[in-house]
Amino acid sequence: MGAAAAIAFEGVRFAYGARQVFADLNLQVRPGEMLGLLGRNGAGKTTWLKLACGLLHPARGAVKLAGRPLQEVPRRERSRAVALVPQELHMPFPFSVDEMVMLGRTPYLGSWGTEGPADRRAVRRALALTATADFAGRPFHDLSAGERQRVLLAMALAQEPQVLLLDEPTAHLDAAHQVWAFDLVGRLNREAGLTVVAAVHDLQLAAWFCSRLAVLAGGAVAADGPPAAVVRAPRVADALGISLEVRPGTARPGHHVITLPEGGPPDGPP
Amino acid sequence: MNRVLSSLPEDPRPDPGGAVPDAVAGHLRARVRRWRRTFLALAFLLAGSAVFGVSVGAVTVRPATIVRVLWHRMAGGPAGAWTPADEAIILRVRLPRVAAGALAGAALAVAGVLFQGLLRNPLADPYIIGTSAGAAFAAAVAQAAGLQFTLFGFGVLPVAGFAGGLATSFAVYGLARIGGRAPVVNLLLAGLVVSSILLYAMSLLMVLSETLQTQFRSLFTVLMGGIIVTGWRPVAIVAPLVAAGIAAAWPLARRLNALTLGEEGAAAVGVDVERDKRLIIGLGAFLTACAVSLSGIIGFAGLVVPHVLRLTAGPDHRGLIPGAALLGGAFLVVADALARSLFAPAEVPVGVFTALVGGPFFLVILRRGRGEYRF
Repeated sequence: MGAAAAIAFEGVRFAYGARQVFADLNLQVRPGEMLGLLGRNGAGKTTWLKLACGLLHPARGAVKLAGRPLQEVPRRERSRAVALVPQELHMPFPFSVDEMVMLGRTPYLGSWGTEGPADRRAVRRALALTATADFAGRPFHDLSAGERQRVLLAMALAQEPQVLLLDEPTAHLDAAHQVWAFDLVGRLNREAGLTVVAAVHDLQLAAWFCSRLAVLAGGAVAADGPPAAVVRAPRVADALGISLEVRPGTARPGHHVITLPEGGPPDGPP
Repeated sequence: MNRVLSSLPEDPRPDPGGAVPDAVAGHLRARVRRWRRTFLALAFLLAGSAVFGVSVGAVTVRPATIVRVLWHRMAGGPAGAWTPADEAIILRVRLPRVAAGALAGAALAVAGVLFQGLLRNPLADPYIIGTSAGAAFAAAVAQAAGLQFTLFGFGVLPVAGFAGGLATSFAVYGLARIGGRAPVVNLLLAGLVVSSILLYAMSLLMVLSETLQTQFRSLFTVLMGGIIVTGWRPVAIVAPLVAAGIAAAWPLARRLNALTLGEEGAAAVGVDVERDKRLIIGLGAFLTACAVSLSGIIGFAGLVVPHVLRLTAGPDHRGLIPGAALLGGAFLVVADALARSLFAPAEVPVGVFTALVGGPFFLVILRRGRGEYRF
């Protein structure tokens, strides 16, 4: 590979106490890629994202950001390069939506001074891109779960990152907004060169929008490659605990195909 | 830094909804205006409460006399027809007490802002990590042991309270720390348990110590909260400490805003969470201990003042910290004035008034508030 990977996991071992998540994980995300991270609950998708943005640190091996070990990158610089959209966020105080999105500017702002024109522009753009500008003045915690999720995306976009990490970005969105959100992120990926890694449960959305899929299972990468190849890989259905039927066709985003499990519900989590 | 996003048009939808470009700047300006109005109102409130506090007591001094005496003494205004007794009451008796009340109230309210923001818990108060229990226990031990000394014009109990409160806070932080991190839940639980242990140990001490039973009155003042300052000397010592504490807390405001996202949310936007936690807890405990040294353990001020401000002016810590200092000061000065005068010559512990006045007022604000809390 010529240019340094945007995010590189090199021999990463990670455990929560006694529960090991990754033993020796290698996965490289190239700049400008849109990678869908698949896997069952507990497979390590969220852990992967937290390692990738420095919220967690590997016990062994290294997570590298553009070739530099993440732990050597100063915090503020790291937060200007990588942004994470969490599944949800509890805000106990009545901050308004635009104040919340402005918090995404924290890595650009010093302790003193007010937000400058560049910060206001970034917030405005993030609000507009996520279609949250209409309720910019409302308290964040008054919004519906789906609206909150779009605000969290706006906050991450206000960080103006090069790498955007999304943890099940569509979990609280209605079907139409799911397609809309992936369409937006896909556009940012194609037109602005934003590198995207999204933990996804919806295989259909993943196959439509991602340029590459990686399946996590048993602490390792079970399959990795272009969507068309990954969804056909024999191990993938096993890794996800479902049966998969792939039909090439002319389906477009918004057209839903329902898959059903074979022989009853899947086994419990590993 | 590569601004990848700025290359895109602002809205992918066909109808972006009109006045998008001005909305953010508009909200921002409105908030700045709201805080300016709030600060102005609070400054007047503090000045008014100070005049009120100097005016009331065993002998009432007319507010006009107070203003003229101060003008004469501080800005070379004309001398007038007041008695030397009036001047002595104003300058040597009441003013130091009002200053002590303002300092203690400011310190408690700012500490309340710090702990509520850091712990993301609207129920947090300055004593949540064991400061009050530590102060109470240390004061009880000092009195039971019959210690007698004066330090910089402070008696035994304020000194013991200051040291005990500070030491307990740091011990709680140490106990909550596991593997280089001090999770918020650990802090809350360690604070609760250590407080309980110390308070019951103090109860035991009260049962066993005859000294405490016969001389309960002065310990009672510390426990219920009462301004224990006479003369300028203690005020002159604590004032720069409180001012320094608040001045050091203010630059943390933006990071406190980010910390309300939670520890991971704050870390994701570049905040050094553990370092800031140490700073915030250290400053909060220090300010609280300063307040204890002037006024004993006054409940409610540190809990209620931040909420009143949040509900009326907004949750931004850049405004909350200075605003809480002003409002907390005014609040305690008024409460102390009422405690001194309402049942004169008897003096009621000011802690009773902070609860009796602050509680209902807070409930009114809560019912009319502009935003609600979510647990």
